[in-house]
Amino acid sequence: MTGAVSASRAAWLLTRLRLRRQLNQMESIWRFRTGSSGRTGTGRASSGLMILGGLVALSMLGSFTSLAYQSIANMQAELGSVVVPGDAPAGGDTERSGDAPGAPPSLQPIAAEPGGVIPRGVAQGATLAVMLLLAAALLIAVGNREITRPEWDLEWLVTLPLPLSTLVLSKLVERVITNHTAFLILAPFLSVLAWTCGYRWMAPVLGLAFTLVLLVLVGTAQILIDTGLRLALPPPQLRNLQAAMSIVSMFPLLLVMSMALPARSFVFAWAGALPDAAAWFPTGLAVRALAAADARSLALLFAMMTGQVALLSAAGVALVRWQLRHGVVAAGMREAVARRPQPPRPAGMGEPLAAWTPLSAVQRRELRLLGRDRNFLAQTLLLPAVIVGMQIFLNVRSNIFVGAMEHPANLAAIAFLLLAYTLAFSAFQTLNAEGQALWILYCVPHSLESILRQKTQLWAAVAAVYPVTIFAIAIALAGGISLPFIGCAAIVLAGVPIFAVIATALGVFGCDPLAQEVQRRLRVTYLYLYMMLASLYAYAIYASDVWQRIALMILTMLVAIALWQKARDRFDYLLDPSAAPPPQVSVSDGLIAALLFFVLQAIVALALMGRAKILTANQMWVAFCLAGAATYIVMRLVYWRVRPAGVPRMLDGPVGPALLWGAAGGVAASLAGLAYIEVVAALDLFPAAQRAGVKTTAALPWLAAVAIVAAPVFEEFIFRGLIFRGLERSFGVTLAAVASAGIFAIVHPPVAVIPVFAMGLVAAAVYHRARMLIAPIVVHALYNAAVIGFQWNAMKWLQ
Amino acid sequence: MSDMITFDRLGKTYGDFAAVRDLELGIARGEVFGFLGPNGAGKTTTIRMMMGILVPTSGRATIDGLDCQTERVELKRRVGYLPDNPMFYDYLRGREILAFVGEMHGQPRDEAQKRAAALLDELALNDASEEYAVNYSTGMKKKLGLACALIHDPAVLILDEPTNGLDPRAAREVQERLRLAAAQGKTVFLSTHLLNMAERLCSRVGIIHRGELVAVGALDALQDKVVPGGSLEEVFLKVTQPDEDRSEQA
Repeated sequence: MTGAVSASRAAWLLTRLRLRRQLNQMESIWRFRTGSSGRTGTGRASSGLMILGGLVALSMLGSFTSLAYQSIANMQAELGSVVVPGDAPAGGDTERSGDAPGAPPSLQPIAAEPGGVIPRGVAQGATLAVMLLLAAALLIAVGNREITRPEWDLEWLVTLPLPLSTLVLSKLVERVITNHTAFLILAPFLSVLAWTCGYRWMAPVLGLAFTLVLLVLVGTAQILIDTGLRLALPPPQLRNLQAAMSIVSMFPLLLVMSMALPARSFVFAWAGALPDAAAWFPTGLAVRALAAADARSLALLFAMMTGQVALLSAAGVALVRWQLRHGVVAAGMREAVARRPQPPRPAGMGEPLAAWTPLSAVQRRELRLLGRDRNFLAQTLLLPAVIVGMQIFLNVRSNIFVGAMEHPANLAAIAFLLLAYTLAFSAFQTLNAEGQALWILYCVPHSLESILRQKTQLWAAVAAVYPVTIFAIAIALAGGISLPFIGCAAIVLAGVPIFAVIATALGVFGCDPLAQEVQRRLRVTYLYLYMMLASLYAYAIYASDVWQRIALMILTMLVAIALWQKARDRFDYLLDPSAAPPPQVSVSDGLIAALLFFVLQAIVALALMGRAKILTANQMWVAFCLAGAATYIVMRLVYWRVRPAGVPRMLDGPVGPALLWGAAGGVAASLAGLAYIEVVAALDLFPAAQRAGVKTTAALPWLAAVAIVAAPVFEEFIFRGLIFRGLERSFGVTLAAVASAGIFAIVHPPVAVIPVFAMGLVAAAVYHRARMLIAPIVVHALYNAAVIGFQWNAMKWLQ
Repeated sequence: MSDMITFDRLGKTYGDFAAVRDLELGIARGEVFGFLGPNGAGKTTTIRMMMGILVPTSGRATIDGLDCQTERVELKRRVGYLPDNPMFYDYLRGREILAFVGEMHGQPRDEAQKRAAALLDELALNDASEEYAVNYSTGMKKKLGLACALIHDPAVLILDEPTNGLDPRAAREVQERLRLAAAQGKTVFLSTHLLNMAERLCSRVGIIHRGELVAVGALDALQDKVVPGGSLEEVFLKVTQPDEDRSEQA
């Protein structure tokens, strides 16, 4: 019989266990990258997704840091200085430090301690901000977990000879270590605050240290709330409470974000009204410590803060122990109690909803769940309204419907934002919501894709209610309709299916059906990516040029298709812990190649431009060729390394027939192009552009030769080889041809869109027939030659 | 007559670990086949490959001539599946889940509900049908899972440990239901490590050990061949010995 384990040793062992688990998690990721052996029961993400996740996390960190920087700058402007009329500083309020804007903040003695480095007003503002951030972190953390069940390992750990306080303490440690969201919220702000107070390379370190201590506070409060509520309330009430909390959690976050806005926020007035006692709370102590003038007071204040937090945590732990005195797991709590069992209904009556609606079984089930799960309902329908409502309240402060017809952009943006949020909470969850019951969908004679497609359609329809209502109200209030309004509304409504597809696809990536606790909540990195895409699309609402709008819409549509294809490839392997979809050339490869091409072209052009303001045609073509060659080489290298299926080949079999097809297609496309030029010249549709194009080609004929050799190779590789091929694999030849020709046309200047689109269709058809790239290259080369030669000839003839 | 279920060099490898190796098997129509094996032998992996949940790394499995991987959707009409540990949605009643599965198999609403009610009655789940499925005990969940597998009257039943975790009465009810299904001419493929149930229900058994099929055949033939006069338990123990002692296997 072994001796009893002391409480401290038990605590150490538990902590070591947690750390080992974290280490193993990281190790498994590393081993996956270098090829692994052994059977794993845990799911793995592909390396591409992990890189993407890492990039998104980095950009999130960046945007939070810039937000923090902006808020503190605003604080310094609003609370740390007063406007001085003329020479003399204004009398009156000596409470707030007075200095003309632009002058460095003054030193201000704070109570009985040595001086700080920021004015009192700014300190108060920062304290309020940190308090709000803490509240947000806590509420988000509480809303993130299934609150109705105790953590799955609690029941197991309780059987070990551990004192209860040790158990609770180890839970606390775990919460602190794994609360990534709270970390992301707090650490940037505190680091930027430290930087403002004069620390340079120490700023992130200090920010981290203070964040860790404050996270202990959050963890304690979280455990208290989790445990206390779980034991006190039945599950249905808990769920309702959790729904309410997830809505309320938005407020502190949005209030802090409003501090970063250019307009003066009323939150600053609250900062001034903060009582003096707030400076002695841990948050106030943190701010004062960072603002301390010398290292000794910093250390002292930090120690005080840590001491306070330790005291509060000890009290919290004791309280949790008292809560758990009757047992760790509350017995007999019924989950989700149904209404009193009704007498069995006669067969055939069914539900009234089912009677008249043409919804499928899956869609009806989703609606039923929406009606019963309060949390889900609140998040899907209420939360978007709250978020957007708050933003309107904080920013606009005026009636958004006024002037909707003349300047519809703002109203359309709000409608789109509502749409995006609603989809984020519903379509994102399509796979997550299945949870552990995913196996049922594998037993029915429907493909997983068709089921998810039905769900996506349902959520698109639900989410469309918001923008449609807003537009209806606007039309009703204005009493009429205008063309710009129709344009903006069309963009928003076109975004409904596009973003429903994007949300579902990203939700599939963010879901790990093999995880221990399948999260019903959102994966923050993919949500952030989704929001980035949404904001890119919202740019189309504000764009003034019709072609820009169409280009953005088509681009986003293609991104949606690419994401759906990638998600679709993943379906076979969702429940497989060790396999991943075999690499195949997909539309996303084409999009990445096109993006790479444009970015490289821009970079090289900038480099060549140097000091000059304008780019000569010479430089333009050089940039084009360099970027094209680099993209081509990079993609070929990657394909040589990865060896996916379906790599487009230049030559693949007998060349003769392919060349013939190419020649035929080229001739057809050229004739169409020349006819188009004639028509345009006769009708004088694009006068300015025509003249510009003629001037370019007339000046440098040898570069036109480059256009016949280089451009076709690169462009055909990307648009036909990658994009068309990727689309054809999943969506059929016709759609693939139209889509690839469309995106190809959109990247050309408006004057050339229609003939280039036709050429794209011909090239796609030829490639489908010949199956080697040389054929569409010939088509493209002939077309370019014909068009440029004709224009050059016409120019010479005119001269 | 062609076989109902065939495995054609079916294999699944997780990284370096071969969970299932080169499985070759044929199961005739109307047969009740018991797939026995120690824990971790590859039973659940094989079943998941049959249901298209996992993708085989080599070979293929077919049911009624349809490939389990490429013709999955068509295949699901003919197959009913009961997993090892069925989980169900919260906020949905057992009756509603069952009717949902029936509708997903193409039955019109009222027929699905009628069938659901009948099945729940048969499996003695009537009292619980108004409860949310997440509140069910283990036995009730298994029975609900069995009901989901039976509602569309499939020709093939694939059951992963159908009586695992059930109390004696529930286990008996499940076995009776399976016997009835077999009498109706359904093909039943069940995996288990409970040998007495296998002895009572199955006409043919296959024993899998470390991913390989080490013994296959009708019960008495197997007993005669491996351990003359011995029980199925003795056959099982002999055939699934750890590697060092596997010198004189039949």
